[in-house]
Amino acid sequence: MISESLAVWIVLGIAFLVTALRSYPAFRAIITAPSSDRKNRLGARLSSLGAGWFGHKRLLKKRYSGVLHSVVVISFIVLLSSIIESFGSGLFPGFSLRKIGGETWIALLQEISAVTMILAISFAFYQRFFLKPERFKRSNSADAYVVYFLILLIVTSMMLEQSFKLLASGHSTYWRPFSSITSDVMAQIGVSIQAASTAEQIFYWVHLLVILTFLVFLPGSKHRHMFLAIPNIFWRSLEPKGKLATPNNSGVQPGAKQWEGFDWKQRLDLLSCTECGRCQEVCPAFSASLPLSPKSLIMSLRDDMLGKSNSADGSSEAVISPDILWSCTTCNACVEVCPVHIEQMPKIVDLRRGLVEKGTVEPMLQKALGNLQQKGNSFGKSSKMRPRWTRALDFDIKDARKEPVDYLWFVGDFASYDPRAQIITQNVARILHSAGVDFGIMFDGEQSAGNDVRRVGEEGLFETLAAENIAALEECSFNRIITTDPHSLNTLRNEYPMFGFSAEVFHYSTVLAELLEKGVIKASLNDESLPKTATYHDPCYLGRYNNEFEAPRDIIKASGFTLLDMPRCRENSFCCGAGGGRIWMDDSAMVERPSENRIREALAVNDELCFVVSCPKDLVMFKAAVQSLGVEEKVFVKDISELIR
Amino acid sequence: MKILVYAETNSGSLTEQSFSTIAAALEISNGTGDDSSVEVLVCAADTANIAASISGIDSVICLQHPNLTPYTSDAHALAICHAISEITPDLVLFTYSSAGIDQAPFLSAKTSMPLISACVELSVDGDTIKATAQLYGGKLVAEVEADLPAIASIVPGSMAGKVMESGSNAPEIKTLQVPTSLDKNRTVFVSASEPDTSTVNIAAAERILCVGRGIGSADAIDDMKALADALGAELASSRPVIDAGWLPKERQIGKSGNTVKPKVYISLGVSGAPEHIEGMAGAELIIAINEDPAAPIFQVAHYGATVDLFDFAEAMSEKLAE
Repeated sequence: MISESLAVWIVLGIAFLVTALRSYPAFRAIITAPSSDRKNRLGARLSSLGAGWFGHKRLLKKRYSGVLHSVVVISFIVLLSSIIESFGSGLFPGFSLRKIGGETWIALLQEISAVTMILAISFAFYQRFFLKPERFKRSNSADAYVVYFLILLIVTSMMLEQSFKLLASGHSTYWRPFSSITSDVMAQIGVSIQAASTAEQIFYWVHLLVILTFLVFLPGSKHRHMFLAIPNIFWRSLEPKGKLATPNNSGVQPGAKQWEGFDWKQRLDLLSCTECGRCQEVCPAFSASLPLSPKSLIMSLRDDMLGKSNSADGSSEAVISPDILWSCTTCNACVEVCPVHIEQMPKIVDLRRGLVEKGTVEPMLQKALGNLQQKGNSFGKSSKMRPRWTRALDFDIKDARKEPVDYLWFVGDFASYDPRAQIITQNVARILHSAGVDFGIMFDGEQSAGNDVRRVGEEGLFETLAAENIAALEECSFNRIITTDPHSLNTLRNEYPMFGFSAEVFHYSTVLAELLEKGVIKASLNDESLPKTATYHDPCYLGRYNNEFEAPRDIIKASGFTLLDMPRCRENSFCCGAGGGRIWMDDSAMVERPSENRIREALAVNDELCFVVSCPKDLVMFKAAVQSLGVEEKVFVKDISELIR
Repeated sequence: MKILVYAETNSGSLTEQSFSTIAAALEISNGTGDDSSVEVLVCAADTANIAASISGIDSVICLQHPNLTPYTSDAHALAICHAISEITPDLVLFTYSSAGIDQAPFLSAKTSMPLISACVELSVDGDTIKATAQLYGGKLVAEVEADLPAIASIVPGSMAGKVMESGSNAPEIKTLQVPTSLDKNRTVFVSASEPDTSTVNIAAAERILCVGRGIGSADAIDDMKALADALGAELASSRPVIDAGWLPKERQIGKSGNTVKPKVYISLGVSGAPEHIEGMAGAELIIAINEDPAAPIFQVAHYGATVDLFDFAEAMSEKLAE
């Protein structure tokens, strides 16, 4: 008969071997991946692990799940000691944690953790089975239930082993309060010492085998995030949020699978997904019933990468179809909420680049890109028409190409060409003029900044637009740039530096708030017929991407409004639906446009209110939404500059 | 001289457009003298019934092969080239249709015969043909000459309004040997889908009555439909009306709907968002009714009135009834 120690060695060896075999597809995906630029700034990476992983910063934004998860993690760490004890004593007869308190304070912690773990798993089960949060739709719940079951089994077998051990040894201890109670109960119902000793041995093995089953199960489960969350958070992007990575062209080879161009960090992202669905919950495309769910996107790419996709014939057919990819507004809400820092949106842009390369472009988008290519703006209008809005002014705007200015105003496409936005543009010009700000524009020398061109995946056109704008900007003499459009702001500030251009770039709300503070301009609620309550919509590319939340709110408050924020505000703001090139595409597949969803949210805050925006695209989107919903008498869409007198 | 007409078939019979091209061939033939003949080429899986439906010409050339129905570019190109080499016509006529636009240039390139596309008039003068042909979708017309043998494609209905006299003399039916190359077809027919005739095509309408959110509610739609019928116009709308579900999406004008260029466009209660104007600014005559004098629709309208749209609709219905 083989000794117990040898048996443990054999079982452990088999379990490790099977686990290794099951991990191979994931391992191969990582080691065969193109390289990534994430090996820098180790200090910054280490220090942020504290909040990101140990602090559960993002998880705790959902109280129920966050607390649950924290309890599970802490309990797990404590119970690791029990695993060490079990395997240590099995593999090396005589091994024990007793010397460092294995039977005293460690035992107590184990007892407490076992109970908290059981409670936490029960609550998790209750949430998943009875509360059924929307975000779990499309997740693999069976996988989760298996894990709950295995964890319960591990913990209960451990407790029973301890109880029988106490019974067999004939004494209870305060260090193991719960096991002592069970052992007392068993003693009273007449379990013999002999039987207890056998049962202890049986549950030792049950405990051991279930742990190994769990280990073997992990590589095929979303619970591999136990191991991958830490490296994935550690190697997350430290670049500005508004700076997309330059394309990695290896993915566009004919016949290549969509994930094949992903570098190892992008692939690690896929493997780390916990299917928690936070990204799906905040996604404007998903809420509009477009075919995109960031969670499903990551899961599909992951399953394809691990050879588990539905196209079992191994064909190179795309698992993510073009209509899914065109649904994204690049609002970045998914990236912002992901507890393990998966970058969903940059992957979508990467795959869009592949579509553009192949010429598979949404028809209306194709027209807009054609216009941008030929005319430098999405409207297809002549560049001579770009400064046409200035004609309505009773003063001249400086031509920044001919004389030096303090602020160079990069006006942007919508602000220049859209008749609704032009009114705001003229308003901003009048404010800056009357405040004595020294500013100028580039007239027909300006072209689309290209922020959204880049985000639809047209990298080449973006580079052309950027190069031409930079050439024009370099001819001008100015101290800083001001924009009305947050999208232009984003690319000028975060992406133009890639081409060697750098300047301080300000959003007009920041500049106006400064002028207001200095007393140069005044804010007032000048139209008595307007409601006295206002809410503010944070544009994605101003707030979430570029952290300007306060300036617009300062202006609103200074103008006498009662400011009520919507539930989704600041970095959790809900996209209007225009970003990432969506404004150029067909929206007829949407069940509820994000802009309309947002107006309904505002109406829930107050029956009647001003809906203040600070982005020309928002103005256009929300005015249309208010009209579509027929709530013109209740919601008044106002640009932040309309509050300045 | 010998004129060969390539006949197009659909669901086992000759297309109406092909009949008009055969009529054009007869007219050209009549203009040349007695010694000219008109032959019609039928390429199909089953040619007998089709050949029997053609009369008033000299002969029908039949090329029968399973791969010729349904139509695919490469099978028909092979068949046509084969027939041309057998028959050596002086003039080959195609219909200026999808199939004609597909085949004529290919044949021209293959045989080095000159091609005149989109002819609205054509006559033969000795060894040359003289044609009036459309350019830029008919925006320009050109007088063109080419030496025979030549190829021409005829704009359907542009020549010879007369249909063929039927029953006069049954044509001789010749069957050509089929080239073996037809057995292998590179193009594979998958499926055909017919356009849904129950839907409207407001892009083709000459007159459009377009209603906006200003009509207030779905209840007004029936009155507006009646007015549109009285005007002989299609009823269309701007996006908010579609969003409200008062009219189907196919009646939407604008960036995300249809782009229209009717002769007359009348709008009632449409403010004229840029996305809407993008879809209708090309209309020849734009008449806008909106109570708000600042409505952007007036920037593109030729005529406008700032009156209540229902008053206007009522007055107009009365006038039309008179």
